[in-house]
Amino acid sequence: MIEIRNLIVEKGESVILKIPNASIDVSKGTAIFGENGAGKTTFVKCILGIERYKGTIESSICKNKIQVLMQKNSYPPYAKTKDILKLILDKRDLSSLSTLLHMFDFEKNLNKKIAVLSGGELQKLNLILAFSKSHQILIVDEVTTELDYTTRWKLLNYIRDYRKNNNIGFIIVSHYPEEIKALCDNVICLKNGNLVSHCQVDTFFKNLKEDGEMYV
Amino acid sequence: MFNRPFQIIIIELRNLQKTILGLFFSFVFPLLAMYFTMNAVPIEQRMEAIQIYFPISLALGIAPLALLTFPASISKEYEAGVFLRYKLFDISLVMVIASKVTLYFFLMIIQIILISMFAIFVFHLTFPSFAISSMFFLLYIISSFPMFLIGSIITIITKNNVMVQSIGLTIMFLFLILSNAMMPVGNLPSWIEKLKFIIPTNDIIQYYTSYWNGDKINVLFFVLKYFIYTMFLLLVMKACINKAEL
Repeated sequence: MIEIRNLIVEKGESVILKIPNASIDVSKGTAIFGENGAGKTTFVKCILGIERYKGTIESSICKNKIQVLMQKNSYPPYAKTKDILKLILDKRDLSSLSTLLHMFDFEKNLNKKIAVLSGGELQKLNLILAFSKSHQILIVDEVTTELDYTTRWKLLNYIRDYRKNNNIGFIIVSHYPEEIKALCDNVICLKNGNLVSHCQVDTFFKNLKEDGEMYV
Repeated sequence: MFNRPFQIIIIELRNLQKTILGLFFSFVFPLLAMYFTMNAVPIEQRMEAIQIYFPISLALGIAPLALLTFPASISKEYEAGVFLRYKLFDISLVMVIASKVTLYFFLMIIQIILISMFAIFVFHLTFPSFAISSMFFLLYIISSFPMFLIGSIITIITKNNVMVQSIGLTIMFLFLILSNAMMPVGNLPSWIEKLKFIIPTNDIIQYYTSYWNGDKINVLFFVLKYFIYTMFLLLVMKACINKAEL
């Protein structure tokens, strides 16, 4: 579990995120949903310990068992893709690498420099790296951004099967209800930096239908 | 065990291909300066002049490498978020920086060889005895450590690539000007004369040049000085790292 108590993030004199209490079951899939600027990425950064905050966040998972894909993932621009793969992956991470390279049709990009990869190709690299490394929980911030439609659904199916077969927990920041429906068991909704609701995915979609708006 | 440091070095070498300004100042400028300076000297005096100019040339090479190219390579990646990405993939940042330092150490050795070869083949530089030559290069190398540390401290404090290059360039030119590397600078205020004590290029140009040309210097003094200077700057760097949000 990840237990959050009295979480407050301030930037200058403004409070940009305030969550009194929340518990995230790391064995399940949890979505963090909200409009732009709701505090979703800030919340993820607090969980990862790379954002200053007040309050407490207690986690039962070691930091090296958490794999993360942020919204922006930067690599040295003149490095080749294969350089990055060799740098980040250990020998024990290589077992699933060839499957992932094939699934994302990425073999042709191994000799390309990072600077010439398109947004979608860069996102594929991020996903290959994240899925290759062993982990107990995967945190992704808008995982399907910049992916084409076919790759997006391939990825969603892969993540769903991967979670089921490896018993991996999952925290996803997403704007897409269909992703949340496909991958998650619980949903945390944020609005203007505040926790609006924390419920199961069925309740979330029921509220969505009844309210007639997307919490946006 | 060495795979990751090796990959960092490969990546840094690829990045260096695009750092034209730093490479120019580190490798080309000292040779150009040597060529034009020595060609201004009458031919019959050149063999004597190169013995004096050679250490100056080395100082002209190490200053941009340590104060401009090296810190810029770190700040560029830090500012772009590369270090954060490495950290989230559980890649040790200490290993990353140590690997870069190792690469720049070898670049410094390549620079010494390049400048030496140019001076030998073009201007007939002769080396003094093996003992003096070895001690000279050892003193030169240990004098370079504080410059690399000053470059690192600039990066840690500013974390902005444009600022790092601006401050690095300013300090580099100040060091070279105050060391009489570019032109004779006389009648400076006494507080500036005292400041020269902490400028490594001043020691290279004033004292190590004399040593190279046969004068005696207190080698132990310089070894101890740079050991203490390096330890002090390491403590300052550690304090800056603790205070900064890296």
